[in-house]
Amino acid sequence: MARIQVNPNRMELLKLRKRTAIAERGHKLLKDKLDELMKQFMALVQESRNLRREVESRLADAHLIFAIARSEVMTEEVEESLSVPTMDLEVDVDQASIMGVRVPRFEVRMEGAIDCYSLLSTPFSLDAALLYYRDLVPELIKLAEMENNVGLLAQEIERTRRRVNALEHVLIPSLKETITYITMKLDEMERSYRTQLMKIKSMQEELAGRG
Amino acid sequence: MAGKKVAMIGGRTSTLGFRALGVETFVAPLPEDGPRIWQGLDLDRYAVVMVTEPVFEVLEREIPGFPPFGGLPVVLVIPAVTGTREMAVARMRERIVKAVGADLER
Repeated sequence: MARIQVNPNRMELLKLRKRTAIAERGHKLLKDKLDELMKQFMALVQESRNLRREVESRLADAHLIFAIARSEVMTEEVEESLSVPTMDLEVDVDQASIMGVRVPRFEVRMEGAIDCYSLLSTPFSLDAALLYYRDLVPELIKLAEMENNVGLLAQEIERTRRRVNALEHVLIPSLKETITYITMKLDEMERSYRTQLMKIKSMQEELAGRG
Repeated sequence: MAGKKVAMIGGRTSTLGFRALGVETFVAPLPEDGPRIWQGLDLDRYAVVMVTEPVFEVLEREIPGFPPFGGLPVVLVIPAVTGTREMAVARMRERIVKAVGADLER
C-alpha cells in the first residue's frame, strides 16, 4: 500500500492518528448504511417483483377481454369510439426519501368517466375491458415508481459499496502504514540522539579523567 | 407540483384501450417507428412513459442512453398484447446483479 508523503514528525503523527480514527468511524457508519440499504433494497425488489407479476397477468386479462370486444364490432368502430376520451389522467409528482436517497413519488388523479362512446354501438365487453384497464392504471404507475426506486437504490448501494471499499482497502491501510513509518522514524531518531548523548558523555568523562 | 401526464408508446392494439383512460397514446405501427416517436415526445410533460416490450427493445438499441434514468419521466416497460417477453424481469435481475454482485433469483 502506498505510503502518504509527509514529514516524519510528531505533529504529523498526531494528525494522521486523528484522520485514521475518523476514517474508521466513517467506514463503520458507511458499512451500517450499506447493510440497511441492502435490507430495504431486498424488500423493495420482492415487492416490485410481486407487483410486476400481478400487473402482467391482469394486463393479459384486460387485453384478452379487449380483443373479445374488438372481435364483436369493426376495428374502426372501436377506434372511433375511443378517439375522444372524456377521462383525464394526471400524476402528481412528489419527492420522498428512502435512506437519504431522493425518489419520486407518484399520485394518480383520474377524473371523468370512461364511457366516452355510445353504449348502443359498442359491445358490453368493451366496458368490461376498459374497467379492467382503468383499475390497472394506478397499479402500473405504482409499478413504475417502484421499479424506478429499485434502480435508484441499486445505484446508491453501488456508490456506498465503492466508498466502503475505498476506505477499507485504500485509505485506512495507507494511513496505518504511514503511522508505522513515522513511529519507526521517530524511534530511530530517538535512538540516534541517545547514542550521540552517550558518546558525548563518554568523551566528557574521558576528558575529565585525563585532566 | 403540477400534475404530469402519462404517455404510452406501442402497437395499435396495445395502446387503444389506454387511450380512453386519458393516457396519451402514440401508436408505433412497427417497433422501428419507436425512436421517431420517442424523439418527438415533449418529455417534460410526462411523469411516466409506458413502452411496450417490442418498441422498448428497438429504443434501447437505437437510442444511446435509453431509458433515461434518475429523473422524470420514468420509463415503464409493459408487455404488448402478444404476450410478455419477461424483459422487465431480466432488467431487474441485471440491476440486482450490479448492486449486490450476485444473482438472487430463486
